[in-house]
Amino acid sequence: MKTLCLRACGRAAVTLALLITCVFLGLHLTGDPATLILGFEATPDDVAAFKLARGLDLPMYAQYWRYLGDLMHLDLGKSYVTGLPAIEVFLSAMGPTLHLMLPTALVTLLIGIPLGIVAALHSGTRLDRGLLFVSVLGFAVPNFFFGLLLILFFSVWLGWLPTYGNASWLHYIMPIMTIATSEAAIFSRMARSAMLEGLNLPCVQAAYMRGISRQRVIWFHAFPNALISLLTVAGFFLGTLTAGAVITENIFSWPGIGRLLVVSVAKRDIPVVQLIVLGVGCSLIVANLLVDLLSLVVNPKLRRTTR
Amino acid sequence: MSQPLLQIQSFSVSFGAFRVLNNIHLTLAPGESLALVGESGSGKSVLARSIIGCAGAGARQEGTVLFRETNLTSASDQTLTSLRGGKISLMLQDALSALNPLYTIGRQMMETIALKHPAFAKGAGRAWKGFGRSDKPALRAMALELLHEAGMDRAEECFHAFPHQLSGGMCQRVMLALALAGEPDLLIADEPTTALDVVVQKQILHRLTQNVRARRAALLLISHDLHLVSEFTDRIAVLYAGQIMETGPTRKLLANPRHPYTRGLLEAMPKANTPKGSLRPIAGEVPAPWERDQGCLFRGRCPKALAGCALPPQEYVVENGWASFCGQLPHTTIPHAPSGGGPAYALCS
Repeated sequence: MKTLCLRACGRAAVTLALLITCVFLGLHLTGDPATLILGFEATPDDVAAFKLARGLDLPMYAQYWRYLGDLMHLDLGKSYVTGLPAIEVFLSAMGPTLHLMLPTALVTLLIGIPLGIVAALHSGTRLDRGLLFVSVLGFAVPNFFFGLLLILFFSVWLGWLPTYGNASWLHYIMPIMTIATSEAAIFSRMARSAMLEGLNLPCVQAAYMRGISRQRVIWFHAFPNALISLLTVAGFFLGTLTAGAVITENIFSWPGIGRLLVVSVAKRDIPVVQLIVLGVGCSLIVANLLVDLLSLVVNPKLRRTTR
Repeated sequence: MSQPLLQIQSFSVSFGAFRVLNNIHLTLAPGESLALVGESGSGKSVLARSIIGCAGAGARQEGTVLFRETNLTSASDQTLTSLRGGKISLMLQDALSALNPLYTIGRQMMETIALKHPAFAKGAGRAWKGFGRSDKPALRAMALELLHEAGMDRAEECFHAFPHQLSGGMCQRVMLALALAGEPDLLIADEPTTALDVVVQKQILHRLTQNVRARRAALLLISHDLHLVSEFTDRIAVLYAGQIMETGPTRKLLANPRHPYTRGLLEAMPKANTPKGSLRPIAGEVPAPWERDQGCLFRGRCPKALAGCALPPQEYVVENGWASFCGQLPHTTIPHAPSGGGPAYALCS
């Protein structure tokens, strides 16, 4: 058990190291930052001064070393646009994103999983087909369209909800609805197939044939088995939350990571982009690590001590 | 003749348009053991599962299956749930996949005992709850006792183990213990030892038959292993493509089969001293459900088939309690006139 935990942590550490290296390489492979930032009109003297100031004249390995050192101090340079430390820009956008995405995740899971289970328990009936229709609809309507529809309905026609910003709880309703609709649609399908798989497991059938009541078989035998496969999907979903929602945040002018990413890429604000990539990557790694550890707890089959 | 425990009469099961069991008649008395043999695809498992109402969602049943006074084909869900694992229990073939990988053996046994053992099960109100903390010591003692009963040597260790930590033989003993948890009056064992080696097979079947005999319960043993069957059962029913071919006393019937199919099965079965090359497999395959008609379904592979075999097979009585659905091999009596309701012979001793 202990070795398995350590192994999971080791895997996460290796992935993290790879991520950090890839971000460094990616940044240096996309071209010379000096010309990228100063533009083609810059004089050679300007370029040399720029390179000297940022250590770009050093050999590659020395730059990498310096980059690692900076990372340790969470010093990732200053935003080219605002001149503020990149980490501050990043964190100021992370707050609104988490405020938006955590309730969204909750709504998604609380709607998606129960709907999927209901569909699985009534598989083949009209209810199941109805839920299939609803979830296909929810998934097929693009977020930008659904978001605009909501604005048209609730803001323009009814005038109930504000269209942009994150000042009050009223501002949260439409973005959450927009994201949760499509995510819950996907989750309901996954929960349905996981639950059906769970219900059809030989051990679940066997429990039923042992005369254990249907309700107990569903909740004590099929559901825990379904949860195991849902856990992986849910973990991945939670890991992507920090990335925000690029489209939805832009529609509702939400000052979050998704919007920051679009703005920063448009303005070639490389330190901020770099930090966003690192941050989102880290949260995925952490989420996957948590899923790995959690499945060790939930699934005794993985806990083999002999290996 | 005592009151039969299980009476299967004119019983058929179809999935959609395909009839996988056709007009089955079987009777089982308390204390009796009946073997159901036949190739894969002959409908043995469907019969076993439809007795406890678990044939599957699309199954359409005709005829009656009487367990004492209860007609199981029309019984309510609640009745069936309380009978399953209680008065009638089914022991499945693949033990490892029949145990939930997430729970220890002990937990699964305690659950089943709490819900099914006559001393613990307290009506339908508990069907959802399972067991509480206060019940645990008694349940645990009962579980260990059942594991011992099933021939588990290290019951204590097994109690705390997860299914994947046990060998196939140990899992099958757990299945036996689970099947005995409800003190069943009818134990249906669906190829309980097929995946196991011969030594473990015999041990488990020995335990099983001992327990069944001691409680004067009935056993329906489904198998395709004629050696095991001849050792552990009183009577045998040979099933082929959903039809009964021959039923009778196990040893007498196997010594002198009166149906070409039974004979074919015996000739295809190896013995320790069988000379090389002398096994004769039955040529061809079991007809698929959509190739089946009203005639004898074995005629396509039968060395003795005649034109008359396309008619619905008739019952020929060899002696009291022994009947064959083929007239081609020598019989002592002439065929019975086709009877309307139920078999004309007495199958109960």
